[in-house]
Amino acid sequence: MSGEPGAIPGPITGADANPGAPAPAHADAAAPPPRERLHPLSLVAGLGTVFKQAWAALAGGIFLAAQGQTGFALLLVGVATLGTLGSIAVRLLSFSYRIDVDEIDLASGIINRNERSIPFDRVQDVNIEQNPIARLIGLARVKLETGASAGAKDEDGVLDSITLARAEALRDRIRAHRAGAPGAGLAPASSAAASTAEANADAETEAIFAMTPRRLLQLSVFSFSLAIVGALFGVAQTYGDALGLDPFDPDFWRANLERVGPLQNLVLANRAVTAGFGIVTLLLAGLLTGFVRTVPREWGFTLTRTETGFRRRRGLLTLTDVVLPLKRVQAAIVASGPVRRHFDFAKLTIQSLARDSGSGDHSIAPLATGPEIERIIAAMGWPALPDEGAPWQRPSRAFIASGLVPAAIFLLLPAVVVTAIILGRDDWAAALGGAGPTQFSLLAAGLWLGAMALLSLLRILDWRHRRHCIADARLYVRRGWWRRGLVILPLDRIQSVDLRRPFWKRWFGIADLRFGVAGGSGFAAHRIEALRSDEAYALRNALLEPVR
Amino acid sequence: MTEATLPTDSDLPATLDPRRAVLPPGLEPVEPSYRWALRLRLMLGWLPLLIGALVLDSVALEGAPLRGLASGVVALVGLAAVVIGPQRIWRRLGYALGERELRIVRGWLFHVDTIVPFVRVQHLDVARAPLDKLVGTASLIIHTAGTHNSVVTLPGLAPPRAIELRDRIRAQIKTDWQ
Repeated sequence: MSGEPGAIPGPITGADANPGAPAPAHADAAAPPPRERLHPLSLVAGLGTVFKQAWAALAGGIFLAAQGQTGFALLLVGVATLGTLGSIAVRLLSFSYRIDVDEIDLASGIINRNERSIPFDRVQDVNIEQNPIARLIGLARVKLETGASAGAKDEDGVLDSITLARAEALRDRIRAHRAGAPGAGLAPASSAAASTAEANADAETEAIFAMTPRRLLQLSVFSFSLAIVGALFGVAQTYGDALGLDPFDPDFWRANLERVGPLQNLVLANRAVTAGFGIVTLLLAGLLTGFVRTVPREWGFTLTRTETGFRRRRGLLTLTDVVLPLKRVQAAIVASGPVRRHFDFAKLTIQSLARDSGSGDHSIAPLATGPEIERIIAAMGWPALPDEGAPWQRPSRAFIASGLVPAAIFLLLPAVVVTAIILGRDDWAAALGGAGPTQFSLLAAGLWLGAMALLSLLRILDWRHRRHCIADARLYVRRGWWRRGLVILPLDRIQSVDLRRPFWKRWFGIADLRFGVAGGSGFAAHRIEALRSDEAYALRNALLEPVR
Repeated sequence: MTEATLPTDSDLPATLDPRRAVLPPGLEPVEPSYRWALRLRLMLGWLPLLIGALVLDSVALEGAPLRGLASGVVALVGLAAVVIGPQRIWRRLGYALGERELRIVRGWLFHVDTIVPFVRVQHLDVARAPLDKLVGTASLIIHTAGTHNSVVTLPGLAPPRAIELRDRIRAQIKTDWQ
């Protein structure tokens, strides 16, 4: 398949290329290994891409040719094909790489020159891909994944393309290096590939947590939702005219009732009963929505402990069986809403490095009591959650004021503008019940004050429920008064720390900390807001202590 | 809090002198030529706006009162940004290469102070955009596994310095593992 594997083993740089042993073999050589280039036949291997990119131009060309404009058609197809081929040729000429003792260097670009250094220790995965053309000519596209989260848009390291023999040599070299590294698995992002295999080989021990049917029913009640009503409203708004439906128009109902005939009088006579029926229907719809949204998903939820982590099975129609290696857990989140909290329930989610399942958040207990959550956390080998006696710290009181000042300004601007516009027009003031300018200004001021009072109250509540502490090499951050959340962040999982002091927070003498943590759904970074500046610096030092 | 970093014979107080970096102790400023990279970038950013304003003024606003105001304002603000901005950004941009971590401090309006421990570095780039080549600077780009802040950039380094920093960070990654 791969031609003669030994045919082109060494670098292909040019006339002085050493055709001897492959570069990575002499690991003990003092001189740095030579830079290598992509294989010239990549141009051929890239033909697939050329066709993929040029198909639109091809379609256009066929259309033009059908209209008799063959010249234009040829020009269009030619330009598109040559453009893609040219870009491949430019990459071929500008790209070079060097396989060093413990890293690979990639240099690319002519105008935007970029030199990338990928240590072998950080390579999670080596993908060797061959499209049909590449297989024919014995080339391969190598993709190195390091677990950096820049995402799919920026592939970590791609060699497109080199000989298959070279690609395999590189893969073996990285594999050998990783096998030789005693600390494998140390980095938080490590062992993505290895762990799945390990975990599958595990013998499971015991069930840590399971959803009983009763618990499932409770969860479905807590998931009461009127989203369906909103959705129906949206549908009626969007398509109502076309369908002849308008549930918010009394005439619509009247017309329908008339069609039913004698029932009309009954309904119109007992409006209270009808309203009651309406409310009951609404309640049933909400309950049913909760039921449909939770029961099929969480049916038969069991969480078992395996040698290396957790195994979660759930689902009624779509059964899922997920293995969550503990090594890949980056953070845990205990969350609860007001109703759940009243019944002492909460939800436990872990944030893990999981490219396999889309979002990196895994619910490992959708509805669990306090002791159950403690048991799961103990099963993870994590210390028990700190109680009220722990050294909890609060954010600075300036948290309240620093949030209110921007809100005050934002509310004041529209209030002043609206007042000015209304006072500028006599007829509008008259429409407001003949109120004079003074009364109206007072009314606006009153509204503004009321809104500010409400916001202050919310902000104070928010402040009262925020706290954090460091205990057992973990950072615990609590927040929220309506929906409460506790984030448990092991200190050695923190990738980077930002200390932010924008000018308005500097006036209040406070700073925010933001943590880079791997995995997660990525909507918001874990953070602690409004710490006194000196405390923020001290806390950051304490957090980074384990990696110093 | 401040330290003089460029040879200067002016008697201006340190907080006002544009040739002095204003950084927390222990931090190094980046190359002064980075100011020109910023200046050129700002010019490139403001030029289309200025042209747009001029076209608008000369075509759409013919005979309107205060004609020329838009172009004037855009020109003034742009000029101010190009003349004043770069050294202010430069003064507040600094870094410190510690034993185990890299610290990058930037900004005054939106002050951000980032620390990346070397253990967390996944891979490293040294990048040179066209403007960088023109003024002789390079950027060090650090990739971590964090979802937030996964790419930390330190611009405005002399190319040999960027490579030196990269090699030192890489050496740290090595020692942490073996």
